[in-house]
Amino acid sequence: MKINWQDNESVKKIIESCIKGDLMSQQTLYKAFYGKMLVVCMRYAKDKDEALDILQDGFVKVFEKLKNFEFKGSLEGWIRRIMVNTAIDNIRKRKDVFTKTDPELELELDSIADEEMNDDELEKIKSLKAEIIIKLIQQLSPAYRTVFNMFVIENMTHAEIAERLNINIGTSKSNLAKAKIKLRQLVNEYIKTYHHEIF
Amino acid sequence: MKYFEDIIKEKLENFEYPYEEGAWKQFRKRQLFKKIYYSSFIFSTIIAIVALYYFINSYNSESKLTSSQNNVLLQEPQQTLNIQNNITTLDLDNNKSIKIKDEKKSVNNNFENTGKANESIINTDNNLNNNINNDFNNIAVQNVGDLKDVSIKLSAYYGCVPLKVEFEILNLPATAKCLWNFGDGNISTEKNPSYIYKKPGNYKISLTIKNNDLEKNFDNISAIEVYPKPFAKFTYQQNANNILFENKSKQFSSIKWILSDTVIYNETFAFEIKRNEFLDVMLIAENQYKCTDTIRRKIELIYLMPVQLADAFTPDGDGVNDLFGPQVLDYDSYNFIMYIYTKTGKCIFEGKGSPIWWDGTDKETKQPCPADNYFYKIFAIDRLGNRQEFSGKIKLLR
Repeated sequence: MKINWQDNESVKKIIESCIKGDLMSQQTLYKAFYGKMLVVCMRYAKDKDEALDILQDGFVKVFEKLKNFEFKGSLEGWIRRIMVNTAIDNIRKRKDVFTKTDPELELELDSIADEEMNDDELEKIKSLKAEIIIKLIQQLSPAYRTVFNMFVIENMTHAEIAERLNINIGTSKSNLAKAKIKLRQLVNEYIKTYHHEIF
Repeated sequence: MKYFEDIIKEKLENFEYPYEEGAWKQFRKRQLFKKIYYSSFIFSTIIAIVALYYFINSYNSESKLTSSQNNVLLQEPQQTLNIQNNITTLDLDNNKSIKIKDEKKSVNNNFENTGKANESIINTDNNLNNNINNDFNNIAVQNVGDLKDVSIKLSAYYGCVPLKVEFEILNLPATAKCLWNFGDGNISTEKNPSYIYKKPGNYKISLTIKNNDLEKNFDNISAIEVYPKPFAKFTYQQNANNILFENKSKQFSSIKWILSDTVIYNETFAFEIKRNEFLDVMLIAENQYKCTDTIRRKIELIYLMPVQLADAFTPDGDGVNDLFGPQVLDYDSYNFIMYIYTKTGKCIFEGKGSPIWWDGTDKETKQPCPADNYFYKIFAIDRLGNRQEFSGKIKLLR
């Protein structure tokens, strides 16, 4: 089944038949969003197994809630939000993930990671494959990874993140700053180690 | 102007994994499993509720039966309750047979494992063991009557200073008055006081209960042992890119350092600084009583780049000291931005790269600069993202 996902009418049709329980339509929708949603889940997970777990759970929810979809935004955006929420819920189950930090440290860290990188460094990062970047993100600790994803990729504010994860705004800020520093270190170390493979 | 995370974001948003064969089948399995799981969950919940309902019903009818039969029987549940909750129970009513269940041993074990003394109950009727031959006490027991079920519960009977102990009297008649003596000169008339021992030592506890002119002394309660605590302290000293940690704890028998995921048992150790970061150092000192004291500090580590800068240079083309710039062993790992200023503050050189050299000429006039003192400002960054700024004076000799 070929579907034009930009065309509202055909999207509406497939959603309707998915709600009715048509397995062919459900499979089409699943296959269409599998790749993109796996990227979302991979970012939040420590490895592919965990990511697939989140993805499957997310799709179960997608099909359960599809009848509530109101065609206000894109279907992809809506599915993505469900995936992100599933991933965050998955992390919230583990209460030990977020630890408190002292406020003085947070202030200092706040400004560090926003410094501009030199062009050379930026060029090298651009040459990295997305898969590699995902692998490097997965190496971050769960707390760093979650806040980094929510702030940088999902464009959430610190206030929103704090509320969603039930942590302080300060914790969110410091986790983000540390995540950026750590990720930059990981990227740099990767480039240094595999320099010859890239160039 | 693009930041690091913008690139990351862009990369991730334009990427998708290829579809893997079999993924849909896996998903269908999960979907079905969830359905079965939920329905079985609901089913078992219903079963449980029904079972509970029947259980409560039958229990209620049973207890009604006993209360209607005989008042004496009503005491039975109380007694069994005592046995369930208490550790040491002494029952006088059963034909003067004395049963003592002493679980002090297990309490000891718990303490060793957790460092906290667990709940222990000392039945005050332990006295009877000694007093059974004492006529006076026999009479007292008979007279006291309503005090015979009284037992004392302590939340701990040994531990590290400061030790908080909660005292509780079980089965105390409402009209009774109590006087606790904590063994360190302090007393309390509360029925269930809690007290914090702030000094190490051995404290003998006693309790007097008065009820309707009857008085009973409990002076055979186990003493409370409060152990001293060590004092954890450490110092550190930075020497180039090494930082030396030294244990300065007092009254300890062993120590343990914890650095994020590393555990060190040495008195001193050196840590090599590889980047600017905060190091979380924790020192746990322990004494022979397994009492611990912990100190935790976040230490800002400042990485000093191994960059060499000369004081003077001679740009005369003889191949020796003709150039000025930051010198490192591995130029590939660094990047520099260098500015050279005259005494009046005019910028006569600027450049970026690694290595970067100034040959002693003015960037505008392309003419050799005269012998004089000049000033440099160098920004350095290394592969790990460390940044450092260097500024100073360079003497140009001709």
